Amino acid sequence: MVLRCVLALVILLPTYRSGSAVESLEAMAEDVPWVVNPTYVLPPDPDHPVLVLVGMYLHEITNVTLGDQQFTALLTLTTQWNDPRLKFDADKVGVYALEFQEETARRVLNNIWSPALMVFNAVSSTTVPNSLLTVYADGLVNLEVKMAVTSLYQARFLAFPFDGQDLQVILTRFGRHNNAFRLAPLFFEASANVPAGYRVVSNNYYSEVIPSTPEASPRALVFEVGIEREFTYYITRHMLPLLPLIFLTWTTFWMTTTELHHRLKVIAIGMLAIITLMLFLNRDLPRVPYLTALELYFICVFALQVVAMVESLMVEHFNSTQRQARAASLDLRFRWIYPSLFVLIGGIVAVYAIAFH
Amino acid sequence: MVYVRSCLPHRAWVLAFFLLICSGCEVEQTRISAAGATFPAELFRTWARAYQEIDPGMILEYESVGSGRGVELFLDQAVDFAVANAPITPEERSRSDEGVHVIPSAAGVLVLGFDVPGVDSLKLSHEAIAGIYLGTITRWDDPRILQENQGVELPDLPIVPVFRSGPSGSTVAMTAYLSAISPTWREQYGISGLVQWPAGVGALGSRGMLETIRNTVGSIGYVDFGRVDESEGRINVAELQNESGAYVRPDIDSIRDAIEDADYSPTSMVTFDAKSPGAYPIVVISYVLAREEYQDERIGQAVKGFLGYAMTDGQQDGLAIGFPGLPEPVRSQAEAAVDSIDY
Repeated sequence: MVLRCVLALVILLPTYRSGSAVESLEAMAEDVPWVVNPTYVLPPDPDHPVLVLVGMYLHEITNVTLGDQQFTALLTLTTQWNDPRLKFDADKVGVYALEFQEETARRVLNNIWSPALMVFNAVSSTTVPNSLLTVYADGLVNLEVKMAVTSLYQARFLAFPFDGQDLQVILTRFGRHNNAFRLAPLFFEASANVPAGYRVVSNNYYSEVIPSTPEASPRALVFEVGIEREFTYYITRHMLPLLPLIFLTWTTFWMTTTELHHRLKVIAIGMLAIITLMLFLNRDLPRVPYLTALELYFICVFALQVVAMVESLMVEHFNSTQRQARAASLDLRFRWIYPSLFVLIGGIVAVYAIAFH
Repeated sequence: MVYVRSCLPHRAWVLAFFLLICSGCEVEQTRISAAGATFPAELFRTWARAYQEIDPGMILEYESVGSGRGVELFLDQAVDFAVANAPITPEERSRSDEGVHVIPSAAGVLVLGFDVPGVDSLKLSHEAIAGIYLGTITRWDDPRILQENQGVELPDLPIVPVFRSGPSGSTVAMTAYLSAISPTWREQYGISGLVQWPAGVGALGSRGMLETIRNTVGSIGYVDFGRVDESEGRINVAELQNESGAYVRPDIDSIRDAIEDADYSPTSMVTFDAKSPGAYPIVVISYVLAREEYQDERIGQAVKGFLGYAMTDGQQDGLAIGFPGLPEPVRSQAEAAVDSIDY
């Protein structure tokens, strides 16, 4: 029985005291009454919206998906505001700031006013147990919460795979007292940790008016990270593999003009391979109503195969109408027209990608 | 005997192989940690970026936690060097077993930024500033402010003084200035990094000060000059009276005059003693606290290299962010102090 009591104390006491940087909450009550009997759940000043400064540190973007246009970010959200009711005498208490962590912070936050924020474009979010609430003697409150957020982003794939995306975390006020405070940005820092295949190129924050809902106010803070895709993967895995097929088709212009069936066989193999690669690529991309730069490249190369097929049929036609010289001349011309068209395709795709980057 | 003639000399192949291997080699990295004042944080980060081009293996991690906290972390051996906007006490110095170099590294000025609708220039006398922070002047159309601003339409609006929450070197500089201009302030509050301000709202860090001033109508607060041009628009800054009684606007020339006249001794707390008539009155000196001897040779070497750059070529890097560089005699002494760091 004694052992059970001791065990209970050992288990319960750390939980009860966890996070308090000073003494127990009850011991603080004499000097900081609001800590144990906090009754300040209403806004500090209903007539004047409280200024809430919001800062964000983006630790890492762990995942960026193409199909459902979502990204997952690990971030620390910092909010600061003033609540004069929470002032205390630093000389009497002995510290200039009271710190509360985890469970203790949650208990204090349940009983004082704090700004209700939501991530407007979040699909899901999880608060990692690393929260820190600091109340300064002058009534300044600083709350840091670490969280993992999965949010939607407005993808633009026109220049894919040479595209960049803007990943935004949009914060807005919500709740019954959402007019009791106003938001302003404090800082935004982002590390360069992104999934393989991307790199961070910019970060920015600003205030924006968004479509409002009954819960969320229209004025939002947007924290934005610009990322660019590392396109080398797509060049080596999707674009370069077409070069052997192009080369194979190009060799048909050196075949004898009477071997139509061999020519068509080679060209058809190329066309089927292009279709297969394109279907393989489209598995990952979302169903967007426009052509991406990579799809444009595939379509142009497919069209080049069709041109080669038409040329072979014309050669056969000239042969069958006793115009062998003309057939040979056509083959001769296409030995340089064909690669020139391929270079032109490269230029078209590059211009398309740059225009929509 | 078969003689095989290579198309390249043998040594060229060895060299090519060696270069191929080394092209994949990574530069060994040395991380040095620092913490302290938010006032010169951007300058230290600027120095770190510039120094990385000389020594790509050096990475500086600077935490803007405030002067007081930075000194605590340094004395607890948690960081390799600290930056403080106020001198350390003899008691703090004695806590370090390896000895402490207190090296002036940069000097800048504190300005008073304000947000008053319809007003973009303002002159504040000693009486006005002291009254605002003592809480005896509470509205912008107070006669004591109006008398120095003839022709400026000051609104009937409450004044919201903004101050730094928590210990801060900037607060030391501001209270030193207030103590110099107001006997009442000197008697009641004195010079301190942590004050129970009679009026106003608190903000955390230089960034918090700036954004609180920018987003609070009727506010006035002290921020470092380099921050007033940051994104989302400037904030307005007031002209202050210097020791000669002249009103001075903070700009590079008035800052240079102030820095030339400042007292850089590590025991000095006075920032209001500029002799030049055109000198801006509130100077903040940032001191680096470095160990006299580092136990880890690699860290000591990196700290010495970085600070050596900061005291020489780096002195020109801060001009664009409000740090014109130390006067030459001070800079030379600082460079000598860095040279004496041992490891």
